[in-house]
Amino acid sequence: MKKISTEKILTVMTVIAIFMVWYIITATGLFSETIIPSPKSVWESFVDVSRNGYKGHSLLEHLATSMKRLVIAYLLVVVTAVPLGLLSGYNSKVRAVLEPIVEFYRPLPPLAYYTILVLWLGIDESSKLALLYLAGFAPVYIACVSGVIRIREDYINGAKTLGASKRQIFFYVVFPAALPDIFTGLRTALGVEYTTLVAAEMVAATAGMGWLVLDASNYLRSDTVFMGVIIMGITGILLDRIIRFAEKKIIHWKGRS
Amino acid sequence: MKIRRIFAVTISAVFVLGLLVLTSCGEKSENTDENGKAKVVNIGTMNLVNGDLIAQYEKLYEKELGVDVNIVNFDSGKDVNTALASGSIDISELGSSPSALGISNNVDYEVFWIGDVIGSAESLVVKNDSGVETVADLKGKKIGTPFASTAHYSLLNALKLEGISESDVTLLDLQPDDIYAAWQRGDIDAAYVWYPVLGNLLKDGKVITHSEELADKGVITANLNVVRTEFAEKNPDIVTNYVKVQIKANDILKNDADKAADEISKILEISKEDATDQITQFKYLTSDEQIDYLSDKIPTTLKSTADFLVEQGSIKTAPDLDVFKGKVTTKFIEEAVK
Repeated sequence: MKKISTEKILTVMTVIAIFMVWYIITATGLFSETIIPSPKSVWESFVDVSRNGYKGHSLLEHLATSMKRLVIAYLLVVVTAVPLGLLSGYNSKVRAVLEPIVEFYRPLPPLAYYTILVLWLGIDESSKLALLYLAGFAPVYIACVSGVIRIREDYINGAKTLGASKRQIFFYVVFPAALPDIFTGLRTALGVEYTTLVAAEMVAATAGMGWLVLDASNYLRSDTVFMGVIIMGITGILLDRIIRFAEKKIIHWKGRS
Repeated sequence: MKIRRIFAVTISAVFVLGLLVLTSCGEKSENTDENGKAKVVNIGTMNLVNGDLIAQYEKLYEKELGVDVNIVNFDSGKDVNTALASGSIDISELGSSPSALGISNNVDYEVFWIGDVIGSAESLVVKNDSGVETVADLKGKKIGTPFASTAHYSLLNALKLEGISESDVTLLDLQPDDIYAAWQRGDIDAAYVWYPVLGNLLKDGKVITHSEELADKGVITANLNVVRTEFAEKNPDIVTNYVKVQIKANDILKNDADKAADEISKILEISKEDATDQITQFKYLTSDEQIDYLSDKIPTTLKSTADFLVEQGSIKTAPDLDVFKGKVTTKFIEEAVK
């Protein structure tokens, strides 16, 4: 047996243990279905919603709506936060302009400024996308800045002595050297965006996983809430896996330098 | 060896989790004496314009209930239901729609008092320039309302009465504050909502129907006072005293409207004119009327609300009328007026 299998067993056992506790607690009948729905009723709710949909949309449509919001906001983050972050790391003047803004809004809870976004952008998609975008921007930006700052001086000096231009240094030295940090930022950003999803779908949404969970909780449908949360958890893990896979493909040298 | 260790770890994890659950259940016992009688009563309020506000202002709960009082504020009936289900509060007011929801979902409480029957305090308003004159004109419009509320129930019934199906309009789930924002930006054409947001919308909007009109057509909405069944069984005196407080407060509302408006305006921090105005938009019932409503209209309303929620696909099944009848009691009012 390889060593890795011990950890795998532990992981599987933990999952089984959680299900066991869940089952035992609900089987005792100590709590009503509203407080802890049984695994059976959560499963039934899953079957029901997959077959009949939830309030006019199928389960896949809910998932797709959320994913669309998430992916659009995420792509916007990638194309803006990465260059701005790298630039800020490379050029202290750019950093002096951008950093205070990011530092200011980053620790704010999204719900605190969501009402303002709704007032400015309306109740349609744009306010939701803006909230997700802002949530994802900060971690990527910060990771990019620190990724560039951490690059060893002699890499850049070495390139300089070999006659590389500023532009060449940026694309052939700085960017690849900062890639591991960029990916860490991208992974964190996806997580943060995902946690903001429910908040983003609080105002005037009619579809989406976050909305489904909120709406079900409006009606004390704990079984549906549990189902929604589990699905969101699983898709969250899957999304993270996708980024990790991309990371492995792109920075194949990580951990070997 | 290795497998055994993993097994041990798993088992201990199960125990730790189990213990956590059990200790969190045990917490509540501190608030009762050795006979199981409550030493503290946790009262939920939504600051609705009815006797509850008067009782809060005059500190009637503290004076009359005979136990320590802890008042907890809620913004929505949904949160009241959750708090009652978890046993965090013992008595509370909440709308008839969330009550029907709670009872349908087996949250164990009973209705024992009617804070108010909702009149024009909840209204369907449209923008002055929207060209909408009646409910029938709403086809193709965007309407905002807080879902699962009494206003939501009234709105859907108002549409249904005009033969407008839900797919003919766009319904948006918006909390009152967001309704105000969306209204100002022109994102919605109409809203079914309550004060204080209703007051703001009326500045450039007009009412096309309201809950009193709907009540005349048989769609009653009310704010109800409920108590956890377990708490009521162990502490009937506290519930009876709570009813006595409501009767006293209702007397002030009905017979000394000026004083009532003054107190309500102070506690809600609104102008006295607004308070006077709002008081007239609810119906407050005498003890006799209470008994009358509780024995007939309220169980029927709860039942039809629950049926409606089933139709909407919001809950799976609605209990029978008899279940709702069993969850509505006149016992404490009868005891209080003795």
